[in-house]
Amino acid sequence: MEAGFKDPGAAVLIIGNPDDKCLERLTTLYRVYGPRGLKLIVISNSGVSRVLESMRSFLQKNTSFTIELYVVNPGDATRSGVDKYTDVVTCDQELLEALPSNLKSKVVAQ
Amino acid sequence: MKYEVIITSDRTMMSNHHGKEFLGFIATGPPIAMSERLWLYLAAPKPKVDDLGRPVEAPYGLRKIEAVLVNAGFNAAIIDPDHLDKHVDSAKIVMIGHHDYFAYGPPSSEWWSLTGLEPINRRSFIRLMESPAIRRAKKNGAKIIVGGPAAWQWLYETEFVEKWGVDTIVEGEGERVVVKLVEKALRGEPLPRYVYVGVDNAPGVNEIPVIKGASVNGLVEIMRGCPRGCKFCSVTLRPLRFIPLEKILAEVEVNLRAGVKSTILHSEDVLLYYADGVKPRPDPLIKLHKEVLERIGPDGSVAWSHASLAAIKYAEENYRLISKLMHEYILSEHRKFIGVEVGIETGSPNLARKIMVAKSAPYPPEEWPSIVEDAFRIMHENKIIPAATVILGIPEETPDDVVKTIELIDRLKPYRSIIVPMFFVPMGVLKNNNKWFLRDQLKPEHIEALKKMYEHTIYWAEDIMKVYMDSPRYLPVKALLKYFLWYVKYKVNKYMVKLEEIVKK
Ligand code: SF4
Repeated sequence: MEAGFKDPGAAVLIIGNPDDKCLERLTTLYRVYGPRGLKLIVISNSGVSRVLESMRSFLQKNTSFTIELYVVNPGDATRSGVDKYTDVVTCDQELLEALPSNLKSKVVAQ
Repeated sequence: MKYEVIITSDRTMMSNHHGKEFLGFIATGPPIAMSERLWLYLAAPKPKVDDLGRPVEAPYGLRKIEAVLVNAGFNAAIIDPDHLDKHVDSAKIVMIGHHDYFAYGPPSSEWWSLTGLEPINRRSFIRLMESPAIRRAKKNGAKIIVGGPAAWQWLYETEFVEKWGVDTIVEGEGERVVVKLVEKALRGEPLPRYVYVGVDNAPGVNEIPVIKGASVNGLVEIMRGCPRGCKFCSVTLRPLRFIPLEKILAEVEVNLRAGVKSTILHSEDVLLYYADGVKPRPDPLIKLHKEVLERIGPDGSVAWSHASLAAIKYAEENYRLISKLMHEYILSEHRKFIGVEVGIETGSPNLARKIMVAKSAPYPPEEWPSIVEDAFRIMHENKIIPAATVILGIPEETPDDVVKTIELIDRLKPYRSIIVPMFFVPMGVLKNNNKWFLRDQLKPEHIEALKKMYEHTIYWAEDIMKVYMDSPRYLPVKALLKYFLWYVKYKVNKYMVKLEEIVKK
């Protein structure tokens, strides 16, 4: 019987390019939610290359759990396909302010 | 025929390496003593392809992905890199796999560091990605998904991710995740930039499909994962699975039907096929060899991809199993030896205990050097030629550890083998420590170890070449290799002096 791919059970929204402080928080969330599988949605306007670069050490520490990483422009943030985030990590306050209001209210409500 | 998914790689991967897997390793170095063209001819000649550009033999990992997608109902095929232009206008997805995309893996990174020259595999891959065909595919809106054992290297080349428009990087076993990714891509949904396939998404044995077309040199997987847990190894992070014999034989038949009469039994430790933990069991191994060899006949060649030295010793000393397999099943008028990759890694019991505590199991790590010696003797007596690796610059290594390695290499001199030094590359559970070992970190004891390994390998190289390539069809390749060896001998002494000067500074 084919089991198929198990989608990650937890979704974390990351607003802005993660710096060391954000990565620390992300690591805590990883310890808590990692076993369920993690979907990480990074909203960033600095380009994929920069995001991957700043996430590298975090991604490399993982040797066990399923992680899916999405990188979206602030303009496409509402199209991430996730209805409910397990948690939110805000790394860029300005970017948070600039988010579309429906997403912002979702984030603030967390 | 139009394919919605095309699967490919660059020339250094898409080749049968003249039927000699080991020659493929030549592509991990930069071209020395000859032009890049000749070097590529030596390492990776173009394979036979059909009218659609589908290679007769293709890398095994790509064959698995092709089989999963075809079984899931997608129109997918492996296409040779020289024939991509026939398909890029219809393809919606281009999937690419590689063992060493950017030459950061061992031993490429080491040759690069030692010579200061970019290895061929990296050059060849960059050429593929900048080729008109790949650019056209991207311009047409195709999604590019990259994966395979070297997927981690993309995290160090993030600018290329952006420049070439790579949509998804997949790290880990691909069987389950590729179906989801292809479905999403065809539906036009956003793709993740990066996926790490966790243990919960590792495919079960039933989900690992039988390949649809021949693999390079008839490689067939007999098990996946490794129970030994060495800290520097990524294979060991995967769960252990044994591939049932029927599936293995089905793949041998696929290869035979395509005219590939060789078989490489692939596992991280062939002798652990249906083993009792790390103790080899004679019955499954004898059955495996008997059935495979019955199919390929007395003139088909056979090899083991990897075996552990501890398992070789245990199997021989407890069951005389190595002699039995070799003399009763494998050796024939046409099969005068077999090749296998083995890992020595260090000659120091102390370091062995720190970084690979179970590599010596069921024996204790304190006995590691004598296990290595015993296993080399057993292989020599039974016509098994090992290509062994030794890792230099492991984070916890001391000068005394390297001295122990040097002494061990000295004791291995009587045994026909090649020994290849590898500079430490952060992988496995050490992958986040970022302590790459490079030329600047070489100490006098490393230079001595490099010399010893070089001398050992040169001592045996011509002898091995004679048995390895005894057919007249290998004459041109043999001539090039002989020339290369001559050149290396001529250059290496000067180079060692240069290295010593660098170390003194
Ligand atoms: S024995 Fe080989 S495959 Fe197994 S964990 Fe050690 S290095 Fe990896």
